[in-house]
Amino acid sequence: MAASKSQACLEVRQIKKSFRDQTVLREVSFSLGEGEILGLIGPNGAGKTTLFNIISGWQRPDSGSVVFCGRETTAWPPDRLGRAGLARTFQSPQIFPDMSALENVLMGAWLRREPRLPLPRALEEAGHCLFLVGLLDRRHALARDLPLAQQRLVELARALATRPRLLLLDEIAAGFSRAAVQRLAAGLLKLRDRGLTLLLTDHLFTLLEAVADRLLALDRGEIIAQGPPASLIRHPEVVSAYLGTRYGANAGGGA
Amino acid sequence: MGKFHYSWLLTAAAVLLLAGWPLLFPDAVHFQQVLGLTCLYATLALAWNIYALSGAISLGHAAFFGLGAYASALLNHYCHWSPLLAMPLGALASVAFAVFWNWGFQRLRGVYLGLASLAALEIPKTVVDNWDRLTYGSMGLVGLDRLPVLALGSFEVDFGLNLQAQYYLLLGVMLLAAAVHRQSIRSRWGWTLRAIRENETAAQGLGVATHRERGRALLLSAYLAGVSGGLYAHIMGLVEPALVFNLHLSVLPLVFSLFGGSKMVWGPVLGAFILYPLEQLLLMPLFPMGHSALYGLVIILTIFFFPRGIAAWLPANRKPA
Repeated sequence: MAASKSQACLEVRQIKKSFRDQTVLREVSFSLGEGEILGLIGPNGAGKTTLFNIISGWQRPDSGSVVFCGRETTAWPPDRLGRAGLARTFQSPQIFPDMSALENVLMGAWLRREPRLPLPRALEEAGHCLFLVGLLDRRHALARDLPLAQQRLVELARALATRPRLLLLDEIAAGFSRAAVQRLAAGLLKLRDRGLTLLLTDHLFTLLEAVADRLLALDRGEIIAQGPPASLIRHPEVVSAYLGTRYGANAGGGA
Repeated sequence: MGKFHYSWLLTAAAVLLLAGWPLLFPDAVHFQQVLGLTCLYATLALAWNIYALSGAISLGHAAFFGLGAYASALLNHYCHWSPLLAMPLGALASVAFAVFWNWGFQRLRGVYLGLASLAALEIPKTVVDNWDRLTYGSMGLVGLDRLPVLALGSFEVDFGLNLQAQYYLLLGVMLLAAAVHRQSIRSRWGWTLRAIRENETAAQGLGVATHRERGRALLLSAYLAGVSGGLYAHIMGLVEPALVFNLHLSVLPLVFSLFGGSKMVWGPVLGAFILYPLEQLLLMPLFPMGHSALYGLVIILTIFFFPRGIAAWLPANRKPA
């Protein structure tokens, strides 16, 4: 699956970040190839969202660098990264509450700079993106009236409408039913097949197992393990990080 | 498409009514004066609202109005420029202040921005008030050239003294500002402003340079407010700091826009055309001392009972623009 991923879409190099005296990220480095899906796992407080914020320009690292599509983007603001082809969703969905679901997605297609689309074409594209996430029948509903899970899908559709090169999904499946997770996984794999690169974090292993080419486990700001999903979720250090050392030791025996 | 025709039909009818009534009542000069000033304040409200479309609530637009008025007055007084030249160029002083404002207040939002804008009004007012050698201080500048006479062959229109002609000029300026305002809502840029207003984080994530776009809205807004100030100076023939930097001039556009509907194309105009004539023609004769209390009452009622403004009741505006 990762055969054509020689060229890095994203490189994260020795990122360090502290808030006051608490170190959140300790020299985190990894790279993500074009068309690859990388899952980021770790317990609460591991530094996943901070890492997302640094990659997408919402926070600056204390040291280290981020290279996106061959250009150093560490100091770029989020809007510049957005124009360069990086889109993301947030743990707490960032929607336009007084717009309909369709208008929300339209913002992604119409405000995009390249290629600039006339309104009818942008509307068509927005409708298509809503169809991809399975919300076309709710297109006229006000975004603020949608349940949280559907707001996440609207945010995803809007991110897709920007035609990103790299998409960051921060706990996109939180609150989804099992069937919805399966539909989402199938959709993400289709997007990957069209060349989209994905970095996602989630507490739902079912989603990560289904879509990720590779998982990267983060604990207390450090990468503790990485590899294919099947082996990584049984990795003793990963199990320890989530469930405690007693379970970790057992997992090591069974791996 | 039905909605499209309907709204255009309504607009055309309203414009025809506004353009036609002085021809039917040529002797109603008081009405022409009041409705002329209504057009001027509606222009100011449209200017205020262009900035508000980006989610910013300004309490300092009198600064732009006053700077436009003073710059135009000074150009006329010292350089003897015609008001027709002094007004559009004088408004650039308001734009210059808007550049400073945009830089200084870039991190402020909501109520903090409102308070800072209120404080910012004091800066040009204090400068003008104390720079006696240039501005004549609190005495102000008097004897400014009135709006000029336009002559086309034997046809002459005196915009300075003929109140009917003045009304048409102010109506024309207002319609021009309304066209700019309409574009600021309906265009791609208008949707950019709306995205910023609704969720700045999401807008930024979509690649919108929120500070720059809000700044553009402010510059445009300041320019139109400056032109309104210039018009005011040459209609009155004088400027005084207490007159053109008055907080009332910051509150009027806010009240007109909120009452009319600040997200609607015609909201600020509708608000101005209902409230200002009501205050001037009905309440002022009845309550000479307390007629301005109307605006306080209107704000409270609007916030409680129709926060989207009365333009939202029009069938063509059932949804926010």
